[in-house]
Amino acid sequence: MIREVKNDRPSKFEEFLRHLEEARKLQDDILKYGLTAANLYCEDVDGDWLETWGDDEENTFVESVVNFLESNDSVAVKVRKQLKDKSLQEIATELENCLSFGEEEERIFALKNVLVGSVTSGSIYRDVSDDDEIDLLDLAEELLEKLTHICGEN
Amino acid sequence: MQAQDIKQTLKSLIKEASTIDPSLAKRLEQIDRWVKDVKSGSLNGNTKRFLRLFLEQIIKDSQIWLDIQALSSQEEQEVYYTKMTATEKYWFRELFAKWLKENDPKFIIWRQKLMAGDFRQEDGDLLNSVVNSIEVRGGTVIKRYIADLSMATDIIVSSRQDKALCIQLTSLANKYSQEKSDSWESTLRFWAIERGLFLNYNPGKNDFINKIVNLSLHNSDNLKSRIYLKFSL
Repeated sequence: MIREVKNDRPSKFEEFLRHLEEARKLQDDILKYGLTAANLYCEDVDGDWLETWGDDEENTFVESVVNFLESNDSVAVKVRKQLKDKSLQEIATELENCLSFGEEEERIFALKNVLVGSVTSGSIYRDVSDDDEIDLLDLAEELLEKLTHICGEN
Repeated sequence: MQAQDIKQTLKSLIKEASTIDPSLAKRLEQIDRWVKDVKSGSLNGNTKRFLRLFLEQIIKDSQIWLDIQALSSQEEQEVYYTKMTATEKYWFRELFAKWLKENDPKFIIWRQKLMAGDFRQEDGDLLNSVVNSIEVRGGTVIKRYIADLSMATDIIVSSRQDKALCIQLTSLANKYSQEKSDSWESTLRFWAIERGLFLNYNPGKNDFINKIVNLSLHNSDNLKSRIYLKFSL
């Protein structure tokens, strides 16, 4: 069987072995030289490659929202806490959908529904106390302000 | 390679991964965004070196992962896995695979630390000596930044019985070691790592490297499943 696979895919198999060897060498270099091993893999590690990373790309709205959600901003922290079972990408996509409503009131309402979603596991309004409802409405308003700002930047 | 080229390599891997394994594409896109964010933090030479090596490592692991995932049959994949050591197999089949599928709660924390310039590589010489001795004695080792920063694992070690063991090493001088060992265990449980060894060593004692090596090799073969062993040397 090994012979058959090798005959069918000689270049891919050899490429795999090369990748495996490269990964082993990298591990050895990191162990041996620590962070200075970076100089072995890159001629200009001290150059401006990091400062210019992604400068030629514009962020999509969802990417910008994900970046915001990952930040220490107090609204982002509250949203992460509220929707802790969802991925940031998923949240950002749902939030983007909320902005498709024309009226501000509708947008806030849609955002609040996204925030409530995790609390009630599908049954949107049941099990949410009046206090929670008011808190989530406040959060939805603050969130809309942030999203509108991000939208302006994009 | 020029530093700028790494971005292109990452982009082409994301493209390749999107058809073979979307979960890898998603992770690499996350890393791409994450690097973009780190650049706005307080950068120093070490941050750049760490990031460059981290990217190099994730790219190499992703290439290996894609080489395997692109194969159509389980049988072909097995042939590729036979070329790996037991520890490499454990890394790719178990931990790297889990890391791609699960949400990594520590990912945001690393980025924040990097942005704050709060990155130190401790115990580098010690780890090098430990790994060399383990390999001289026939063991195999995996050391990955993801294992270190997300899974509280300095090294993964296999010995004669090819049973990979996740090991965390910490110096007695570390005053937070109790807190560190509690958090170590919960991190291992989070990733469903079935057993682990937390070694608290005293660098002032004679022969401590040899003791670390002995304990690592012995427990790799003998530690039972669902045991998270904390040991002070």
